[in-house]
Formats: sequence, C-alpha cells, structure tokens
Amino acid sequence: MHWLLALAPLFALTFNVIVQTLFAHSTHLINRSIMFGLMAGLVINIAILASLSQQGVTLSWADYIVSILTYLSLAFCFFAFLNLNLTSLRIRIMRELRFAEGTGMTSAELAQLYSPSEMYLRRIERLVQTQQIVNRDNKWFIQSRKLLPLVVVSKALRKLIMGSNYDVEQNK
Amino acid sequence: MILLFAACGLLAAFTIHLLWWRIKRPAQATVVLIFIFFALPLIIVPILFYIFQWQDFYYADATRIVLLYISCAFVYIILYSAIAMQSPTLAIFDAILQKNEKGYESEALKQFIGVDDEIDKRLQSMQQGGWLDYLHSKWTLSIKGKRMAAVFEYGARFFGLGKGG
Repeated sequence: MHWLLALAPLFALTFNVIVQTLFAHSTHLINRSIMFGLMAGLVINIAILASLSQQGVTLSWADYIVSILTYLSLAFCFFAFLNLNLTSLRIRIMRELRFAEGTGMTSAELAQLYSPSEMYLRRIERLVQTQQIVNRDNKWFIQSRKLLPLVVVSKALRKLIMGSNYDVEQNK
Repeated sequence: MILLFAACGLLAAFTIHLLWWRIKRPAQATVVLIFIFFALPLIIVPILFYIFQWQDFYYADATRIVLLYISCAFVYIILYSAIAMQSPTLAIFDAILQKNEKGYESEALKQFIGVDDEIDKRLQSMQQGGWLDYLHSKWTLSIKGKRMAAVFEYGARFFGLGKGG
C-alpha cells in the first residue's frame, strides 16, 4: 500500500498547525484560526486521497474513513492542547506562577489575578457569545440545544465508566 | 481490515479500563489509562504475529493502524478528563437546562455552581498531583510543574493564544 496514503493524516495535521498559527498571529481571532486550521487540514487530506485515486491507486471507502478519522482524531488532540491554554484554570495558574518564579504567590494573590467570579463570568460570556444561553429579566434560559448531546453523552459515559455512585463534585 | 484491527484494539483496551475502574478507580487515572492503551498493543501484536504467521506484511499498512489506534486512544484519554470531572461550562448549561422554561436566576446560578472555593480546590489538587509546592504560605511550581508550564507558555506564544483560564 502507498506510503502517501499512510502519511496523509500527518501531512494534513501539519498543514492544520501551520494555517492555525499563521491565522492566529495575523488576525488574533483564536476561535476562527482553530476552525480554519481544521478545515484546511481536512481539505489537504481529501486532496491527497483524490490525487492518489487519480494516479490509479485503488482506494476503498474504508481507506477514506481510516484516513479522515485518523486526521480528525489527531486534529482533536491538537485542539485539546490549544483549548487547555485557552480555558484551563490549572494551566493559567501554572503560567502565572512561572512568572513569579523565586518568590511564589499566596492563594489570595492568585485569586486576585483570576477571581472565581471572573472565571464564572468568562464561561457565561462564552455560552452567551456562542448563543447557547440567553439572559431575560435577570434569569438564564437555554437558547440553543446544541450542547445537549454533549451533556447527555458525558453523563451516560460517566455512569458507565465510574458507576452510578460516583460523585463528580468530590472529584473536581 | 485496518479499521477492524484498530477497533478491536481500542475495544480490548476500553474493556480492560472498564473492568479496572469497576474493581478500583486508580488515584492517577490518566497514567493508568496511558499504560492500558499503550501497553496492550505491545503485548497483543507480537502474539497475533506468532499465531497468524503473517508473511504478506506491509509497513505502510502497519503505520496506518498504529496512527489510527494512537490518535483514537489519545482522543479517549483527553475525553476521559471531561467524563471524570464535569466541565464548568457544561455544568452551567446543564443547571440551566434542568430549570427548563422557568429559567435560572443569575445569582442563584452563581451560588449553585459554587465558584467561591474553585481556586483553593484546584491548588490543592495540583499539589497532590505534584505540580505545585506549598511552603511558607506561598505556592511555587515544582520541577514537574515548571516543565509543564514551560510547554504551555511556549505553546501559547507559538500558536498566538491568550492567557487562558
């Protein structure tokens, strides 16, 4: 079997990373840069498969699925790394402590830099911006049910893997 | 065939993980998960080679199986943390969802999510994980934490990201 077929997802991921990086630095639109990078990589992956097909390499539907699934999985890992930098409180704490190297920081200083209220507001803001929730008369309502499958699947998986007596609050 | 191999490998690893967790949930879950998903192929693949005596073996095909298996395994390991610890964003969404048409009052939602001790909880769990040291009422990065912080700091700069959180 052709090596280009095997390595197509890696080439696509490389292209994804390059497009995301260039787009983020030039426009500072982080979310769009991630989406553009993902799509650019997908296009490259499909283009490689199409060019192989044109060169006479016989590709089955399974070859397409394997290649695209591998690319999407790799792209998800890259997205998770970027997302950790964007949303994780732990990473934010570690990065702040890195700047305070030598002296360290107290709990109060860390809380001042990034108050729990700020964290809460940022998350609410993200949900509002993506039109998931809406505020009417000082009350929050669901605007779109796009996140519902995620909530249902994560709850079901939690029950399957952790068992029904697992307390998510204690394991935060 | 490639899909089948990768799917069987992932299913076998997932079954072991499920059984392990049902018997006793490990303290360092991610480390154990990485061990299960990456040690299993190292044991199973040589056995399969021995049993089936594969002759017509293509390295390009093996690369495709390995890439698919590793990428899917990492996706699961990443998703696992979202399963074990509910994302605050999803928790907010779920809380509002439960209230249905009545809506959730802004202040009541903030209290329900319980953000007040979030920083302390994270600091303590990071100390337990060996990322932070606590000395003379001050938090500092451990050696492990310094390495990880550097990876994310350089990563954020390279990929043009903000401060996060």
